[in-house]
Amino acid sequence: MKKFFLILLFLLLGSVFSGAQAVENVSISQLASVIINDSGRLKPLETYANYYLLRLSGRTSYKGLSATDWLAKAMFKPDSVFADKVFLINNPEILEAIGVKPDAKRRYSFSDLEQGEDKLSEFAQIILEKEEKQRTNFDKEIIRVFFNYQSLIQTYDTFSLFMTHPDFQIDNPETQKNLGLSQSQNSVFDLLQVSSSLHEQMSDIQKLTATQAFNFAQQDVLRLSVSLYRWLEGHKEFQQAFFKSEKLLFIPISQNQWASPWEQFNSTDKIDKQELFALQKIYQAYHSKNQKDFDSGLEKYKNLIDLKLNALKINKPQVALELIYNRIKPFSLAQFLYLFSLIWTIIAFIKKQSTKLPYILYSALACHAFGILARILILQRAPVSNLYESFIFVAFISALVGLAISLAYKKSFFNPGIFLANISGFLLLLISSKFAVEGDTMQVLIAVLNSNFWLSTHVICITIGYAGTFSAGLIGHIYLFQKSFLSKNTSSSDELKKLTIMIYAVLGFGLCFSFLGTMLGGIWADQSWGRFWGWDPKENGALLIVLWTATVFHARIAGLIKEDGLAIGSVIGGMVVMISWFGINLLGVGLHSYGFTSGVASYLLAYFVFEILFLGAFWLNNSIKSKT
Amino acid sequence: MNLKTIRAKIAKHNVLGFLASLKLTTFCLFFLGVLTFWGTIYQVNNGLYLAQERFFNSFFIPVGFLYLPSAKLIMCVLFVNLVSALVMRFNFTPKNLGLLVLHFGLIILLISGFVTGFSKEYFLTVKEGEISNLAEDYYKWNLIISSPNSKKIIPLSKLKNQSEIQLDSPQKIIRINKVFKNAQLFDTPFAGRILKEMPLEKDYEKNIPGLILQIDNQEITLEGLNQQIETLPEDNSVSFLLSRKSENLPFSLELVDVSRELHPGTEIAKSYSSKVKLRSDIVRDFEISMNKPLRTGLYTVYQASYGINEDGEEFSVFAVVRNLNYYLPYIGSLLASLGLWINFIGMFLKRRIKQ
Repeated sequence: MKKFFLILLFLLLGSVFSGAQAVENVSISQLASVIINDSGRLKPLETYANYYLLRLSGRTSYKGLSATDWLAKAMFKPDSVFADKVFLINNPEILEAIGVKPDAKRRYSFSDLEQGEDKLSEFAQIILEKEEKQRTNFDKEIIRVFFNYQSLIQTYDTFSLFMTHPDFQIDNPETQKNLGLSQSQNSVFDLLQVSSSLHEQMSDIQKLTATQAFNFAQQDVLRLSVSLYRWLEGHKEFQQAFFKSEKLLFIPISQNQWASPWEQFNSTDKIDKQELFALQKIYQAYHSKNQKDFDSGLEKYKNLIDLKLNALKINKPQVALELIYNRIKPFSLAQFLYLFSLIWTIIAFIKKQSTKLPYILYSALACHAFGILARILILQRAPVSNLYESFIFVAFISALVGLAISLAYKKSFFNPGIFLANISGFLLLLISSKFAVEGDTMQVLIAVLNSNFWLSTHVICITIGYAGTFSAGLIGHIYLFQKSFLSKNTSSSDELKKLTIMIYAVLGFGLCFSFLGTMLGGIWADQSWGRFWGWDPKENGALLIVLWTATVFHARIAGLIKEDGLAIGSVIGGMVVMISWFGINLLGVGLHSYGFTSGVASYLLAYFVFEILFLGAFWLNNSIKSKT
Repeated sequence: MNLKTIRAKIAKHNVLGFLASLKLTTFCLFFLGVLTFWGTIYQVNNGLYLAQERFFNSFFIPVGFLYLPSAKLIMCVLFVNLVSALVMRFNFTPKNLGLLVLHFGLIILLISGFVTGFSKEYFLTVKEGEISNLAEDYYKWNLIISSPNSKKIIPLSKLKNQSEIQLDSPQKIIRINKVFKNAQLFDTPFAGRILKEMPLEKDYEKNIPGLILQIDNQEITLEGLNQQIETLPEDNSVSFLLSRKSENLPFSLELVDVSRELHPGTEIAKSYSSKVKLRSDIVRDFEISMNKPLRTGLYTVYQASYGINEDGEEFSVFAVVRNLNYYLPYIGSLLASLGLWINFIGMFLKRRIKQ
């Protein structure tokens, strides 16, 4: 066990301090903590990079490069990633349609897609005019690939204003001197810095008579002016060509506005552009492979951003914590540990050994708790506001419920609490991981949800209610399994009695929280929408849990059902929770539209089929038993 | 005869015993669950309003030739069942404190549900810098017939195809040729403007009704979108208008400023708020925002939405609710939750003590 912990600790520390690798001799590790504004949230560049590469390729690294390394390459040296196979396309029909040769590994480079760009764009334009409901899977995949392709072009454009270009090359020292430039290779950014002297010299040229010939310096000024105009106009058109703007917003302008380097550069306001100089220095250092300049430029840039955030009274995000969170991946680690613990428990059960020291489960819970706590601190709000977070939270509460139950079974060699904790922790985190590939799971809140008080009362109570009722369902499974399929020896009536009490307690716990959560939801609805109850689908979903649990309790007290009925009722209660939790969301109607998702239907169906088969098997087994 | 004996005697009565029985409670809870689920699924194709009307606001649900009890009726039965159980079965002992508080709370919640049936919901649209007290109904429309001597207001729901309205002055019979729950006017090259029936919107408040009336041999077309006043061909003094049911509130709202804060770099709204002046006997300033309504008398005013019209003017849409008992659900839910918790913790402690 000690060995295991040492390995775990080593893995954790390794992942936290690993940072980014040296890319083409420049270590960009410090770039990970640069603050950007993405989808309304301030976050480290690393978070964006992880989700960005995941979105394109389904992975968070590329050939040993971290996502931040790869993104840095794409931003600083676009041509170095043209051949990187980062576009994941599963559907071969897409490739056939756009005329790109399919690859066995299903990943394609920017250069590959460039061959089919015209067709891709043509298809996308037609599909985008269709209503979303009418789009086929092929259509959706085309749109996804098209947006990803366009988004990468926008990434390439991030620092293109610092790119030196032959259009702005000045070999004539006299021109350099006249314009106040110190180098021959220049970028559009350099030229715009000297635009006033360029303008003055253009005025002088305009004063020349028609017969007067231009000298070399004047020819240079003319060429540069035309190039500059062409570039700026061309860039405007270029940016308008995108269906979805995905600029990287690096620079805070005001409390409500952030700008990309190009936007800051184009801004006609008299805004201090020091950040752009710092970014240019970083860009140049990256190209000249000068680590010292890169690091000092980055430090200066970060200081400037810090100062600006202070001046604008914008709260600085928890960058260090988020980097630790990104690197530890607490939920993946917890998921792995739950699985490991489950296997361990099953082996112990088969070997008839007691699982007295559930250290692996404790480690899983610790990782899980750290993840939730880190999210609270990073987002500065209650831990549940979307479906992904609800899975994480319900998994945690269910595991805690399992742990609490395990205390009652300290002396037994079979401990259903440990089983419950491991299974619920693992399964629910597994489902949550499917949401994580859809983008940053730390999203900003829409207006109606933007209330820390209600998020931390109503939503938390409802999700604890889900966890309680779902956990009671899991204990119901153990009860029915034990009663039907295990030998008399293990399924002694004492064990079953104990399980019945557990079902009572956990179902009661679920009912208390579900009811309180539903009532708090009513009060929130009254405060926000003007009515306590409106029969909205999500409200109905919460009510269904309360009604079902109350039905089971009343039926038991009335003598309509016995212990077996209670267990079956709790299993069905688990199904009711699933209907309320995300089945209702699949209907796509109602006021709670912020919680909708479309990718979980197959999971829900599989779960229902399993439960029906499980209950069917129990019923069949019972019928056979009673006949014999 | 003591109270215990009386209660036992009543409980033995077949009907009264059944009314207070746990079996009836179980059936009602289960059936209410079925209706809730059914009513939720029904919303997918029919929208919230029709589901509310069919499953939750009426007493019976017509299914073919059958009439099933609706959620409202089931809740009435549950109410009777609960009260009967309290009278006949519940033991009023400290041991049962949790259960008693819980069920008293549920009774209050059910009562508040009935009282809510008498509440009225409106919306009030106010442009920035303007004052209004005219609240309009979300779903109900009226046909207003005005003549110099009278004004007749007929709810649209009462008008049926081919029915007739008697006008006293001038004496005319108005025939209702068509009533459309949702309709739109179309310009046609030969037939001029014609009113066409449209499929019903799921969001019922988005349905704009239309009417075709016949007076003598002349047809008058009315539609709710533009709410144009039409007159009798030979008598301009008699006019017809199809408009939302409205009510003059006992107070006015002046919209001083409306603001929408976005999350930086996105179109995602972080908050909406409206600075208003509430004008009744006194004038007072108030800021209405999400989760912060304005309460005055029996009325509560909520921020429902925000917009900018074609002229670039900002406006706020407020939901206005006239409720007789906004505090009742608060009391009911508080008591019921408290009772549930007392009961749960009590049972837990009892078990610990036993152990």
